[in-house]
Amino acid sequence: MQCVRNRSRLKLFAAAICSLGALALVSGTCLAAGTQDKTRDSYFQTLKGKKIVWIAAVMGNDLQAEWDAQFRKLASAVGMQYSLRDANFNTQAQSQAMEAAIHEKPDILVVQSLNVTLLARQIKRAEAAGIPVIQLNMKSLQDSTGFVGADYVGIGQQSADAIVKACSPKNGKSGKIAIIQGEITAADSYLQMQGAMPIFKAHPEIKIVANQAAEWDPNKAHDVAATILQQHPDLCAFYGLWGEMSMGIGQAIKEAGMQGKVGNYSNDGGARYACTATKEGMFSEFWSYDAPGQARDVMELAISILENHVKPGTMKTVLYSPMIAFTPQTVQASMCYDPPKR
Amino acid sequence: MSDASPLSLSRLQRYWPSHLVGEVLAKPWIDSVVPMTVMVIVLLIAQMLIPGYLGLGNLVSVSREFAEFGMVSLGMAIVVFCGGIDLSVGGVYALANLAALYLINVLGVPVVLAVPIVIVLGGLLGAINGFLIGILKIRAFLVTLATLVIFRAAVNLLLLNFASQITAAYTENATWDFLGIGKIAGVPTNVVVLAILAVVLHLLHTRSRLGWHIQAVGGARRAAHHAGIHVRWSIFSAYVACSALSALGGLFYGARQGSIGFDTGVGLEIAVLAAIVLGGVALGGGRGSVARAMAGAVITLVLTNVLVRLGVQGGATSTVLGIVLLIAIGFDVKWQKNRHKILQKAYVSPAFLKLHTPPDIKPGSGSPYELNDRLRGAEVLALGLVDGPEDVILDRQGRLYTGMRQGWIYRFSGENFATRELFANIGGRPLGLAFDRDDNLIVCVSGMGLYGVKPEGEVFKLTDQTNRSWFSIRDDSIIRLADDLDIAPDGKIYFSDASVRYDLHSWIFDGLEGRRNGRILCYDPATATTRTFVSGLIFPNGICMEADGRSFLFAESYGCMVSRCWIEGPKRGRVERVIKDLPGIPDNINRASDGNYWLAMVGMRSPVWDLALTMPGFRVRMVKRVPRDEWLAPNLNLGCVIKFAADGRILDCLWDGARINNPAITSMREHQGWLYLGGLTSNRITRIKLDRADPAFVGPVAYWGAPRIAGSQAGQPA
Repeated sequence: MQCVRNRSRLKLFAAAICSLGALALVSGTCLAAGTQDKTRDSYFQTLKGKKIVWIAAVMGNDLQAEWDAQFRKLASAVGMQYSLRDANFNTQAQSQAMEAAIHEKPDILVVQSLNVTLLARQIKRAEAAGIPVIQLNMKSLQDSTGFVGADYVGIGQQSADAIVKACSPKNGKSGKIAIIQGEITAADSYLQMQGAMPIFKAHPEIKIVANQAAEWDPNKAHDVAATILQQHPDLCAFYGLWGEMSMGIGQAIKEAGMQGKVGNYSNDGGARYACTATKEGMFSEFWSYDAPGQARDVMELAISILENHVKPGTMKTVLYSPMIAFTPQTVQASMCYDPPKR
Repeated sequence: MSDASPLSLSRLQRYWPSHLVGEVLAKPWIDSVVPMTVMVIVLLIAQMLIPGYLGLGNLVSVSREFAEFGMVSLGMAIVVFCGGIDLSVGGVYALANLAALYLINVLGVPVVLAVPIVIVLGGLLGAINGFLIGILKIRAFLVTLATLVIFRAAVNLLLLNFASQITAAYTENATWDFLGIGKIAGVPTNVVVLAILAVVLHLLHTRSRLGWHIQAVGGARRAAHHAGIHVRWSIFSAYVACSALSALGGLFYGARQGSIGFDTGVGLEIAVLAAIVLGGVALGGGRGSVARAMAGAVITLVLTNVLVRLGVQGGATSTVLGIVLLIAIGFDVKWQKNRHKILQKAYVSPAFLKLHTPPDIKPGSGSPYELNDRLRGAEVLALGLVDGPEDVILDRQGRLYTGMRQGWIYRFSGENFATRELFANIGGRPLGLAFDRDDNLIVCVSGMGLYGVKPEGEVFKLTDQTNRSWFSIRDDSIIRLADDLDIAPDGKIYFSDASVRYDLHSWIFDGLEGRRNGRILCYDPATATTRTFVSGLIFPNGICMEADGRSFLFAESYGCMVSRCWIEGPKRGRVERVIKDLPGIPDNINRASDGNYWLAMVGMRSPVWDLALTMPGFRVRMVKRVPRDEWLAPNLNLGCVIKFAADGRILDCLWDGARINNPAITSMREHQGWLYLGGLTSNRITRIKLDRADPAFVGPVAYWGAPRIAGSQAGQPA
């Protein structure tokens, strides 16, 4: 059902982009002359020249590249000025970028925190300085005007449920599982574990034989997974907390000749590779939080904040992204997006 | 100094301050010019790229980001000063960050307690490095590389176990927030702390024993050891300080961001090393300053900050930093390599000097300076027992004193002065001598200043510095070349400081310059202060108080003249020429028993030398292009002693035709009918019987009267 809903959203989205593009072409004359559609005039007038800044955790992978491409496209369609700051997985750089942004005072600040505490105070200060902050996918402990992103606690629960079901000794499996986290204090790791751990604990038949952090690095994840597989040949499944990193786990399983025997559960924005890899059996089950949809949610929330002149602190909107789940059996090409060419 | 010759470009050159170039280049802070300039350029570029970058608001927020990095840079700088390297700073930083957050968030330890705990923890980690490197003498690079791996591994292990706990316990705490995000008078707390640390470390580095030791160990470890410096302890302390500062950085980072993660402090060692090298702190030690380390840190941070803000992606930032670092290092290497060459060539700055036409000295010329051989029959004393008796003096008991090249004062007494005693060991190079009212021997010590020796041989310092003049680039408060002295009836000591630009061993350069580098200083025992009395003299040398005590006579060696300077009355401080055309280079002046004055001449002028003095360009080219041993030099092979009257008339002249006993005379003293002669490079003292001299004349008596008897008034100068 989720898939259906999502596909219709995609279509809608495409239609919206087309019409916005067309409008943009003629908007110059239209704005000057004024039209009968009063809300349309004020819409463009409000958004024109508004600054939106995104502080990314890291560039250089499909998820962020897709968000960036979408932001760029959607912002230019409504005449907003978009700019990107790349923290490049460096907390120091991210806090500097954040400090600079607070000083610059953009109209909307989008942040993807490297970990849950890093930007907490700065987010608070930014909002106190009158900058509405939309947090994207990786939350800080400090809430702000908006949050758009995956419900990681929910993903953790769903993943744990699926793994418990698949690995239970009742179903003839060993019950041994391994968790490979990203950065322990980053929201996606931290919150997924909050969702998953209570479920694993409630099932004593499930034994976590390894719980390591690979800092989002597929190579490190690969090496860790390969070692775990050597130590525990009867391992039932890996739970890798981010899809692109978990490709390393899938590769290790494949190299060990255990594809099909050892499960690999993961999630992310659902770029093309996820569908392809799932179809090839690299993933047992995959949850996508639909990156293009998230980008659009961010822009819609931003536009809504600007149209309503929302003062930071007066609104706390949380938009959890609808999930798309697929397995080698259910995966379809349309469930993934094609990332922009980089 | 004739004004008769026509105006020419080279004459005007005396007013051109060409010597300043060399003096600026000789300043220790000149090394800082490059990093400071780069820093200013980087800041200006930042302002151009990001409008408002140099605005107060932005600087405050950027500086907040800077402080922790600055603290680690300070730590690294200390270790590098000491000739080491500490790659483990990032590990210490991360451990301290983790420890601070665990103590405060999870255990609820009060901040005032947590701060010292974390600093001590850092110090302990540094002690591991310090022990392995300083005490066990394992290579710093390897040790700290290993400890970096160990500390990082410890961080990663601890993170797995404690990260969620620390994150979950994230709370707000007023004191903690004050450290992290608070301000003191509008300046972020961490920046204030950094500033205090930088000032304290600068003072420690430049003015404390430990700082000098660390610098010395970094400069030359073996030499430091030989100098008695506790090398191991110095190195150990440097590593402890470095880690303690890194820990403090980690603590403030924790307070500011409350963030723990695998990337905390990753690559910090490289960034910090880059920063201090960029600042011109030499890897390998011995050269650098706290200010330069800070400048380097600012450059690094502003560069990264600007690139992050311009939205430059990921790796590009590191690449740009790397390129800038390469350029800076290349420039620094070239600068260091060539600075000394430039300095060598630029420092010596010959000036225009036109001497008066010298009188004839040929026998039969009728000149008062006619060559003769009257010193031939001089009696030789202390042959081979003295080394460079620049000045000689006799006390009331007729004992002979002279200063040695080795820094000693010898006293000769008994029949034929056969008994030699080491009267005092001052150090430096004792030159001019004089007795004060209390029979203390006052000594001008080149390289040290003005010293005194009590009759029983105890050495005491009178002064080693004077007032700094306002517009001097070179520090002229130092007394470099105290040469000769005399004492006024009121006890004030007037002494010559021959050059503010050169030490004694470089006297030839001062001669080549012919510049007004010298001065006469006055030490007032009543206030124990020293002031510059007359400046702008050409190598002032001998000084002799005139009988009335209202003025003194002084000789300017390279100026080849004798002048009078008033110390009392309406002409106080004024100088008038007494003899303006000496045929040679004058040295010490002393009183004769008949109320006239003796003047020693250490060398003779030559037409070539006189001509060269009027051609500064020629001397510049000579210094730059010709090896030193082929330079034209003043002739110091032949001298004489003259007697002159207070009005400048030449009364007598004594030459040593054989040039064995007294080729270059620097000093003479009359005592009971004899004239005692000394020479700067001589290995003997000689004396000659004077014909028409007062056989009762004793110098100290002439100055201070008969020996003081308890209860009686002090004697007036004769």
